[in-house]
Amino acid sequence: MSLKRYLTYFYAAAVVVAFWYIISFIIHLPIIPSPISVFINLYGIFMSKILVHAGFSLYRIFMGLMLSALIGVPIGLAMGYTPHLDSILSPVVYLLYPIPKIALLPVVMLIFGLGESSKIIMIMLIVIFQIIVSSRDAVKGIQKETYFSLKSLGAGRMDIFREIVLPASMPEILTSIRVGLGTAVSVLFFTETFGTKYGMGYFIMDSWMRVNYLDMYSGIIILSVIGLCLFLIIDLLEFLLCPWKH
Amino acid sequence: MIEIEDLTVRYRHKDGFFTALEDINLTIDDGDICAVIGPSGCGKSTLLYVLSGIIKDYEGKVLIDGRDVDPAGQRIGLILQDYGLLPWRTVYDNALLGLKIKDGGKGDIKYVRYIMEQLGLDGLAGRYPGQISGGQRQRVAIARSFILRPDILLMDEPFSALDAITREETQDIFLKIWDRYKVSTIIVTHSIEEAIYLGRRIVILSPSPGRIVKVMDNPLFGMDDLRLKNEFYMMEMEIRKIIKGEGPK
Repeated sequence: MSLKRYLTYFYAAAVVVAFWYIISFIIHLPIIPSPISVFINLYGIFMSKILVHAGFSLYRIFMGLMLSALIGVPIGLAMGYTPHLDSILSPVVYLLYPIPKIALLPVVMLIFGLGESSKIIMIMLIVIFQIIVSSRDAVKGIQKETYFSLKSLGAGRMDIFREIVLPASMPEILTSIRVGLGTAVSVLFFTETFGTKYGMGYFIMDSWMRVNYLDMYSGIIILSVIGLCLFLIIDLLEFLLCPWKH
Repeated sequence: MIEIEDLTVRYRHKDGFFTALEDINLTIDDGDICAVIGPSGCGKSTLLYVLSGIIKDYEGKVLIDGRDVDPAGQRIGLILQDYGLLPWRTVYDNALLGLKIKDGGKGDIKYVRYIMEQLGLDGLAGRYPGQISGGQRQRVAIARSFILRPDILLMDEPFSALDAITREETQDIFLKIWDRYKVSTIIVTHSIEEAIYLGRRIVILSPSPGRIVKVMDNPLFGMDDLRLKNEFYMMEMEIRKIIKGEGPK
């Protein structure tokens, strides 16, 4: 977590904006406005129009990811640590994993209503499988020699879980949440285009329908920034939970 | 005391069994230190895994102080070739791991501090194993075992990954602490030199399947400046001959 590393985000942002500016300059169509006018627009509408949508999106994506982790990580760790449980649950997980769950949105909306829960559950349904499979594989990937010291001390299963299984798989669990975050942003966008008047997905689609491209791009920027902030939070979590990695 | 009677260990694999150790008979008295030497793959590590309760599937009898091997009930100090440290625990937590599992972390803090000091680890307590050198990691593993106050101490090629200078230094520190507490110890090694330097008795194993070729008393054990003495090289030659199958059996 060095400051230098975070400075590189600014360089990256500068490069992206520069590219954007060049393309808008060459193509010169309203669908690709200049970043400068978008930033000016964003400054004007952020507090009055975008903030409430950003709040909704952040809440949904945060809850979706947190629930996925809270449910998925224990299931995955238990599967990895208990071969018997793995042999029972793995076929179920493999069967459900490839189903395009985004297509189940109508069903989820019918059961859980049009409110917040259906959106959060949709994110969870999609992200949780990645987290289960990664957590399980993280445990299975622990070298058997790692357990020897504790076994020779006569450690019980809970001791071994606390001293080895959990810390050894923590970095991979956090990576799976990072990967899940990217997926969650896409799912969020999709779910927010139905049955709601709040959220960045709604705001972006609505601006598009109203042919207000400046608003639309402002929304895209904010949605990206939300994703980046969540990434940084996971980095912070890794810093706190895996101090030996630094 | 460690008593091993007719110990045979077979590993199961796809097309049957592989015999790692055959008919091992060995007794190690209280406060003795025994070096087991043999070529790679002769089942030396297997012997330690049996004694530390990691391998439970064997034939014959293995007793520690008259009881069957039971890691939960006995205090077994095991130092592995890769040191067996947990990368996610600090040097201090790693050194106290044995106490934590056995006694819920309670122990004689003075003694802990003494061992850490003796091994030159007092300045490294807050570091992680990934942040210290191989020699320092080895010393953490030794500290862990002594802090546990084990009934027996088992060491698997403990110094083989260290460079020559660090190795000799670490061996000396180890002997110094061992001499004070005199735990019954088995050291497994492929280095003849190390066996002579650290073993009051030396057990020579045959290539796979490992059988005991010879058990010899080591009159040189504990001698000052042993590595510089002529007898050291004579003994080394003698063991070399036995291993090659030329010497007296």
